[in-house]
Amino acid sequence: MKCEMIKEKIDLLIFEENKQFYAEISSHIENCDSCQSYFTESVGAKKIIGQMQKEPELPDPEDLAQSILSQIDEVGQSTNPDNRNTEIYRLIRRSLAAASISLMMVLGVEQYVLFDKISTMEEQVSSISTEHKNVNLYNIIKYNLGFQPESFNKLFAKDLISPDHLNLKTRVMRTRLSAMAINKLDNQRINQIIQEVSARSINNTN
Amino acid sequence: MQIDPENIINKARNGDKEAFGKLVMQHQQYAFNLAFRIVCNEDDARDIVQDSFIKIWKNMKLYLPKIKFSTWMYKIITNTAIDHLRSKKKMDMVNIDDFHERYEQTNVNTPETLLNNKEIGQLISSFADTLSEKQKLVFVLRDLQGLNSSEVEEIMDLPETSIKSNLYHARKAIGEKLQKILSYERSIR
Repeated sequence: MKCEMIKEKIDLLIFEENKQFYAEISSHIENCDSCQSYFTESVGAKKIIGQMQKEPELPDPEDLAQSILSQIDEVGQSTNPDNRNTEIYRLIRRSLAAASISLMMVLGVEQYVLFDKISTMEEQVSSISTEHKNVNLYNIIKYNLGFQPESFNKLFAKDLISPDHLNLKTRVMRTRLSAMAINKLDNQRINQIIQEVSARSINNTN
Repeated sequence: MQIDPENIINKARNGDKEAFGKLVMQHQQYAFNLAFRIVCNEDDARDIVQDSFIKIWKNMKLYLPKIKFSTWMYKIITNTAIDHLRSKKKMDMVNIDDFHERYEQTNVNTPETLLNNKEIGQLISSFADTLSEKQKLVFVLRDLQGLNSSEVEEIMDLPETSIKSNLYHARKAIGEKLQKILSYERSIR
């Protein structure tokens, strides 16, 4: 735990140029190989990031602006937002955050370990297409409306987790986490969204 | 005469194409930087900037001034760039030999060294393409584009803790990769 804190302070020193903890870092890394190597890696990363920050040159800016302006002549301005998918993502993310706090408090899981899992879960959810033909996402929600642990487990194992690099423990952890998170969603609101999307799909089919 | 940015935005929201043209000229270089740093390719970045500004024009009436216009715009550019990446499935793993070769091509030692677009793209893709999508985006927005945490939170719809965690892992991965390269260099000398 001490090393994790020191690494956060090394980040502050190297990337935010905050020298508040300089003395503490300096005395710690003298006797800690792990933090010393983290410090060396961070210095290297900072240097290479500095090179990546070089600004790419936009070729023919006038030409690009002209091309954009000639295309907007052909399109109008929308007045009717469709934020329903965004709303679902917001609900899921808010619930994941709530679940993560509960897990940290109840199980004492370390923050970075937990956020690794949360990040993967969020990435899997957000990598699903934002188009309305979003079968996987609605399946997840439907499963949670009539929550069945076995089916839910199977769903995540099959649809959202690559079997190549995850062991059973991780899978169970993620399933529990996901279940906790999504069960916190407002079922009524989600049902309403599903009905709206279903109705629209039927209209489109017709 | 000083031009009032809010006035230009309001005019563009009301369908004034000339005002929108001023917004394009004002923001296109930054938009290009952002798109380029995500897709690491000049032609793709130009296409993304073009598509993004058309989306911005179409949705100008939906822009709510409670967030900064630039933040709203960057969110659209980021999403367009990500859709582009996903459609081209460019998030390939880079093997260490390729990686070393690519790094060598961009191994510059002084900050004054001028890199062309291709070299900058190679450098970023060498180090950032093996990051997860979220880590890469947080890294590009925060460390390369220089946005602050609250802007990144708004653009990515993520809590601060998640931004912090992804940035931590991204920087760590870049540092580890650099160490691998350096130890590889030492081993062949």
